[in-house]
Amino acid sequence: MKSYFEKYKKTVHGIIFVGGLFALLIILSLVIKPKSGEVYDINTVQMKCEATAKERAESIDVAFAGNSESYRAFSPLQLYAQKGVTSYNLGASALRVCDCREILGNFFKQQSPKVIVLETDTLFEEGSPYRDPDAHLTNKVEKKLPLFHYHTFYKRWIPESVKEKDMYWKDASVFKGFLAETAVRPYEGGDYMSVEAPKTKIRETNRNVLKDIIKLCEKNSASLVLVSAPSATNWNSAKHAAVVKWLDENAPQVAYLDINEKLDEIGIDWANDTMDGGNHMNLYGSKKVMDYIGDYLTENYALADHRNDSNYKDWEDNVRKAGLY
Amino acid sequence: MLENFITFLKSGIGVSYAMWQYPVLFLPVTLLLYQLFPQRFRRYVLLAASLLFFAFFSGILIVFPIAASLISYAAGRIMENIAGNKEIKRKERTRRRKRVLAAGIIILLATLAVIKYSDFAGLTLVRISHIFHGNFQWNLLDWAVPVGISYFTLEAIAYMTDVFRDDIKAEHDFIKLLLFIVFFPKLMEGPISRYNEIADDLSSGRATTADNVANGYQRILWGLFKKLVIADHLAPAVDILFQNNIMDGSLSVAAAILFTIQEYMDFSGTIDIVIGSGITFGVHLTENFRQPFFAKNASDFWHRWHITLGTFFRDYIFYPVTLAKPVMKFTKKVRDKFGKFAGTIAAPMLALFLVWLSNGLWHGPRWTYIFYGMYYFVLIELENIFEEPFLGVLKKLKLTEESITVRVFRFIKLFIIVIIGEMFFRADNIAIGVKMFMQIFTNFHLNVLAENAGFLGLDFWDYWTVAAGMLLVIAVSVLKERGYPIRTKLMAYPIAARFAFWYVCILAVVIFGAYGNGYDAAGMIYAKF
Amino acid sequence: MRERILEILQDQRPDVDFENETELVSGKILESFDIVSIVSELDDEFDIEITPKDLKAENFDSLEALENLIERLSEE
Repeated sequence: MKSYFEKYKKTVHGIIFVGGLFALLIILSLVIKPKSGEVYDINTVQMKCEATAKERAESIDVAFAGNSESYRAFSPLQLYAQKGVTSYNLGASALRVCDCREILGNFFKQQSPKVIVLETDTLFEEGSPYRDPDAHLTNKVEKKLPLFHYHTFYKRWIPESVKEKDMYWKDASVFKGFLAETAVRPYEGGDYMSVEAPKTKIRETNRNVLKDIIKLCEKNSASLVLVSAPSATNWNSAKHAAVVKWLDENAPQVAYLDINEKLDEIGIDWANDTMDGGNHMNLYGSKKVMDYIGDYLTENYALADHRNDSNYKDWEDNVRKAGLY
Repeated sequence: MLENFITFLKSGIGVSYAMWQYPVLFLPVTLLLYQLFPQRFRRYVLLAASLLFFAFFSGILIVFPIAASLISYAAGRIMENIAGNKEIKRKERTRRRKRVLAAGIIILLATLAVIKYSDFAGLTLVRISHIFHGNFQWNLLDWAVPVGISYFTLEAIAYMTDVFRDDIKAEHDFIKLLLFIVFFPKLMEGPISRYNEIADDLSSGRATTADNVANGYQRILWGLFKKLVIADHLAPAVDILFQNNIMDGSLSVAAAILFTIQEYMDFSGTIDIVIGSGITFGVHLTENFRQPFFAKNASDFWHRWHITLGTFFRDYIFYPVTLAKPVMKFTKKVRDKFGKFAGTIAAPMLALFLVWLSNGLWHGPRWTYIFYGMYYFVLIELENIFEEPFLGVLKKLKLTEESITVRVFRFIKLFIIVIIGEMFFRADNIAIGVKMFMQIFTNFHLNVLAENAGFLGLDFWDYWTVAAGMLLVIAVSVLKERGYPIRTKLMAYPIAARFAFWYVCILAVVIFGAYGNGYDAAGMIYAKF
Repeated sequence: MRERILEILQDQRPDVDFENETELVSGKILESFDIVSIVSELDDEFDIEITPKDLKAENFDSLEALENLIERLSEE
């Protein structure tokens, strides 16, 4: 009889162990879970939010959102130098549209931009907060136990010397989120917009997030403009058509500008204006793009020109510091 | 929920050992069912779980391990019948049994060769024909390969040979043999097991104990640590470093070292999960790794790395070849003519060549693997040749094999040999491997590595995590090499302390594991720009 | 016979104490190369034929086990 009890004692220990483990996971999940909505890359989102928080409240009139296509093509300093309009680039590498929504929502808490420019490349990438949207079971577990979803939370605790070098932090206060690259690697392919591409559409998760972004802009009295930056490797006529179709049917009030259809007009030279064989613009390409966008924005929206305003002297200083415009 | 489960079942992707569903769902459910069923049905629980596990990956190809089991079973029974037939002379009985064994082995090897190596053979013929300005065409067959075929084929061959050698009796219970072949923990990555080692425990249906489950899961946790915290962090860096635009010798060295670490942590970590799984059922799978970097030379290394592959080749190629009459005669001639030393070198050379050719080829249908095998063949032969002179030098220098200088020297030599071998193993082809290797001498600049360290998909925390993980693994390895009883010492602590300790370990894997968001390897390579 | 076996063993591995060791194979003291050389010499010396199936720990772990093996094979 004694050995019978012994046998079950160990099993009971096991059950207590597993129970305790669950309790621990639940408690840690509650502690770790960020107060924001669900995001994919919590550390990048937080880095961008921290960087934008350093800007003077109510000083930014335009925000550029999206992924790397955005931060390589849209330069806030150039926009200020040419038009005196203050802006910030909220883009980050491979940023999912659900994370864009989060960063934008946070941005609206301190700023009242009049125009939001969303680069469209992110609409055609995976947009859900989960690594694999088809792993239903895993995702359900991550929803119930966010510790697993946000388990890299510790990565935001980095020494200053390392943080200084982070690409979203390093020159952010000067370049306002834009990343300048002078390297040239030509695109040698042909006209990628006139080639027939298989029909595509914006996937459901992304459509829902886009609807949220539209509502968010409306709530904050900002106009939303969708823009496709030049990208020979990522963009094509099918994606263009998908954006046009969705906007026509769901949000005709949102403007759409596809720069891939204006390459000749703005003088994009694929031998010189791309840093990586046609994927992203480099500094030279971005100058031509922002020339056009700057004109477009000031012609279509009432945006203040702050160039003679002493409150915006720091922007003058930054333009001078950058030495590019 | 049910719909998801069915999609999950049908997806054919399967759950591999390091995916959370395995230790959290698949294994515990199987264990529970195993315990709940009466003893005589428990083997069927294991069998069903194993067949299901196999089917997740390869679906209908499950016929292959079943066929391999049938062939082994038949061969065993036939050999036994022949042996029992006293009307035939002994020599004739042996001859016939040999033929049955040969037939069984040929069928299994031919199946493996055709399924896995046809395209390789075809493409090689195409290349050869081009050299001679011929025009041989080959349309890729691209056949699906049943998971684990390289492992269970060897196990089946070992079974039949052991029956032939009278080491074991032919199995009359087909289920027992089938279960041995398909047992799910060892299905995908081994260890390559011998029938008499585990078949009885596997089929016994003996109830498992809480101790077994605890010990098994502790081992599984250790494996998950090695794989998720170390190996999976290094994976994207290794991928990036091995892309064709390797530009500097310093990157070649980094690639070689990081891949070696990744491969060791991944493979030995998975084996820990596998062996731990076996332990939960009271089945003791053979160890496959024994602190390989403590080896004194390349030969010893292969007694510590992928041990069961080495012992298979030793027992089923090396000994049979070296002890074959013609080879023994040749050895004797060499020994008589050139002395004992020459005999020691020459005798095993053919067998060693066959072993290493097989080792290389076994890893897969690629020239880099064959090169890998031949690389070790040459090095081991050289080590054999220089063994005695080396010991002579040591004597002159008044050093022993235990002295620090010798051990450090041996470690550095071994480390270099291993990482270079692994570099060729991982390279896309031999030409690239050679290029990477030559650059170490012609184009080595440490600053290139420093400049690129931030672009390997590893951030500040990742580097420190890997470093800390490695220190822990090294510390544990040192203890194990010295025979320190780690688990016994742990069990001496009070239960609350032990619980806390395991909670910390599990959390370490959960928090520092390279899984989920931000660890999409392909995405990382694309992402930084 | 014991003496002749011992001589062969010492010749191959002078560093091992064959008189007292009982785990020559199980304790990984003898390597496969050693075993092959030893088998070759034993085959010669005693005019027997050691086959792979004889290469088990129970036959090679100690001097005594070897004696038994050779006696058995000599009778066949």
